[in-house]
Amino acid sequence: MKKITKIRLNNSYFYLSAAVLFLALSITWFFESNFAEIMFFMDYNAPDITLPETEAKIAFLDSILNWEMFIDSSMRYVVNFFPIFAVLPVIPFSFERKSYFVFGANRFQHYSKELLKSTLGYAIRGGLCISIVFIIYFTIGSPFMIATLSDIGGFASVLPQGFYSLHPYLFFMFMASTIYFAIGFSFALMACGISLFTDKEYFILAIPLMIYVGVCFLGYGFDFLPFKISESVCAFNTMYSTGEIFVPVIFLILIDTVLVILGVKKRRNIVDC
Amino acid sequence: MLIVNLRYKKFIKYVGMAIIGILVGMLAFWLGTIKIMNYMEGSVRVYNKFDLINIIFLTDEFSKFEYLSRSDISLFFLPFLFWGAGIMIASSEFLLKPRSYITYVYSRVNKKSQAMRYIKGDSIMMTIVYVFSFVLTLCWCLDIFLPKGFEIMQRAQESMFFLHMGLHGIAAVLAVLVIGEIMFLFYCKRGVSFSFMGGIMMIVVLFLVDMQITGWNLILFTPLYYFLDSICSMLLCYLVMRKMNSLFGKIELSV
Repeated sequence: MKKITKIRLNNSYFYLSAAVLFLALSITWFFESNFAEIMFFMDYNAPDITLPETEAKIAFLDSILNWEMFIDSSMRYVVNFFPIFAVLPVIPFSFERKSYFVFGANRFQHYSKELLKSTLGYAIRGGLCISIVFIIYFTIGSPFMIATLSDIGGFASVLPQGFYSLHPYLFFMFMASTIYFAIGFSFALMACGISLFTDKEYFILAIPLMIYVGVCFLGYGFDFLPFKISESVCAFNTMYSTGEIFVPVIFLILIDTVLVILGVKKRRNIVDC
Repeated sequence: MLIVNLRYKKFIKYVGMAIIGILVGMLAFWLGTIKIMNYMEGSVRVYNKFDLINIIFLTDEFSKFEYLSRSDISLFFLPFLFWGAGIMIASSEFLLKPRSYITYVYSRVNKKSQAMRYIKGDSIMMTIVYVFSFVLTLCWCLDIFLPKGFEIMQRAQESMFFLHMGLHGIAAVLAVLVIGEIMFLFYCKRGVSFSFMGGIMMIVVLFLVDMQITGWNLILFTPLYYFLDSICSMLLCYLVMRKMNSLFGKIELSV
């Protein structure tokens, strides 16, 4: 194995991003789904609770331990700055761009091709970072959760009727491995494209976040589907069908492709002179 | 000549911050209005300026207002916009400086605290300009483009509204500065990305804590004690964090 591949695989930013996403999801669920209140803070001697303490606790827990509450309460804060978890694994690419692709420029046979290949690799890793965390999170949650709704919304429209209520775990696996991977991929690709233009880490982190928030604003202000990125982030609670959910992501990927191609051209010119 | 040039640059920076504040304020007002209009059609109660502000800054009292519900996924979108832009501005002063500049500063000062002051720049003034331009934009927008069906407030209530906005503005400045100091500590130890991530997670932690505590306000818009509780706690946090930064914050140049 090449040494650069080893360095790329042993990427501490990837683990940091995955750990923070997992922690953010689980801590938010702990407090926002009233789990903490039911377990620790609730007063079971209150006059309106007729059941004894353990039975009341079980009854309350039954009402919150379902898939809809689980995903909804854990995503409540994360949805506002979702792209950052895909952008963080891409930060080493900007280091690489400043050193490996400058000092080793004359050793590549095809400079642009190599740059594009590593860009794509980092973008896929950014998508995987989000996708893997969600798969692990749902897998940990699956033994305790049941589906209470018969139909979760538009994203299940490609699946057969009643699939969600029969196999909720498989539905969430499908969601984590398709739409969340696509969102992570698009934002990581955007960060790669930005890092081809600028040296500053701050811009690589901040610009995707600004684009996410600004484009969402425009989407909701003018009610225009290709701008509603947060609709794809909340794929578990949407009115749009499976195909329509991918429209904002495809729109983003198109912009990113243009950005990356221009950036690679610019790098190529700088190296050539 | 050099001093004039530096002052000019600072002025340009403040104007930029004010423009960002005005833009973010207008965006927040626009989306807040769209959101509240959906609830107004079926409602019996007459809405006033406080209701729109409750949506933009978010409040603790979920049972009082029908337009605030925990299950609404876009509930935190507007508050996060304000706080996120705030911490980006507060931290931009030191996160945008290249490492070589820090070496340069270190080689030319006598005390560590002096170097810290140079590296932090004038983030305090920038935060103040941003927050107050945001708040003033909101007040101005609410005066001129008051949505249809909103109650026109009495004079006494109007001045109460300005008092609330001003006090919340002071609390917001202090809160942004606290998060900025925490980000600076992260920046010293781990570098830019870690610091950025830490700042965003700090907002989440502050929101989570504030939602759990009743009777004490940190960063939400709950005028129980006229925001004096948030101002006091944030001032205390700010002084503690400043002291900690001057004790432990030494920038490691290898990161």
